[in-house]
Amino acid sequence: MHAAHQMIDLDQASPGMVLSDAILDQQGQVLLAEGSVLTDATIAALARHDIAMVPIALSAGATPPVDAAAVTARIAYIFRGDGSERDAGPSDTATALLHRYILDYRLDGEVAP
Amino acid sequence: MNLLTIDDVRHHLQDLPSLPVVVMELLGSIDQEDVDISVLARKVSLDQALTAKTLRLANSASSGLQVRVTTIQQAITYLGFQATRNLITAAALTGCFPAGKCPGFDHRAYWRHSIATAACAKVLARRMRLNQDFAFTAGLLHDIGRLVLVTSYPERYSAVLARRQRDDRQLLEVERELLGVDHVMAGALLAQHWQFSDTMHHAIAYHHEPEAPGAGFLATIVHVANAIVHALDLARDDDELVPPVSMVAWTALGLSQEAYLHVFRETEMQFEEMSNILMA
Repeated sequence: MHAAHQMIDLDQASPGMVLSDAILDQQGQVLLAEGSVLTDATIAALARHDIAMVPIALSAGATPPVDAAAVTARIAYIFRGDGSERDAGPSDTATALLHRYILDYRLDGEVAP
Repeated sequence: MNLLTIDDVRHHLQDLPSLPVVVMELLGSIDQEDVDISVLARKVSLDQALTAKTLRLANSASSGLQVRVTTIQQAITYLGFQATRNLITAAALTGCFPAGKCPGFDHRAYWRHSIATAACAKVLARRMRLNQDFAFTAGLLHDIGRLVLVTSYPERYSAVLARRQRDDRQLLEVERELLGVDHVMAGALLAQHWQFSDTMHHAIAYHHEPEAPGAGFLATIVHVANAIVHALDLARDDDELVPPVSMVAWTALGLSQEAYLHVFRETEMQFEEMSNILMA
């Protein structure tokens, strides 16, 4: 099972979403395996099997795109004490590095495994 | 108003809620290997709420167990003594201090921050090949002095929080100015009062000045973990403010940017799961 997943209504599902778990029918037969990428055809097939909810992996395909401006502004606010307006002491460098890394992490999203 | 002295805070420690005896024993013995595990498992099992929470943590995906454990003894068998001890400590501490007495103090944000720092310190310790369990517990407890001040001086601490918000300054500075003592001193006192090991005591006492002589490497880990967690915005505090990061501590860890990105990711994943259980 994927670490991050979300149950969503089938009518909210859209092609390209990835299943975080297998979907079983009433008899326990696997209809779609874990990791399957939904298509219009498979969504229609799930509807025919009376599947109401589907477990979707929360990855790039399912999460809303990052609002880069809002993220950058929020991070700048959290780091407002990082010494940019004070004397640049030695500790400011580490804080500034952390600031940059966090920004990269939030904006880039994916971390290589 | 008069400033407080360290002795004032010490006198009030008696009035604090006490931890379950078994948890006191666990914390007091954190660097001992010769604890009698079966006795301990029995003692913990007497506390049903504590046992239930501990087992939920043990069975969560982040612990990596392939089997489902149903007793403390099984958890120790499969996870190891140190890891189980962490889970028990986390489960006990998060329920120990009463909430809601100090206006402006957000208990949930406090615990979110502490749990996240515990997770991050553990991740960092693994990267540094240090004892992950010490790091976890030190991270969880690093700000416990705030709870001491909140519980002993709710009104005065409320004023500190209001001033901090109004002036938008680092909490530590405002505590010193308005109270005369700060959460680091209070935490160190509690660590002595609860008879924590020296390692843990130092990590709490020096987490804001890891470059001080005698601080120890655990203080460095907690210092950086604390800053990372503030920076990741995990406590959901609108006024979140990253404290200055010590260059000495940062350099001592010597991690690359790529390593940090992994640390961020792992911290968020572990935090998500632990907080769901502990804050339920």
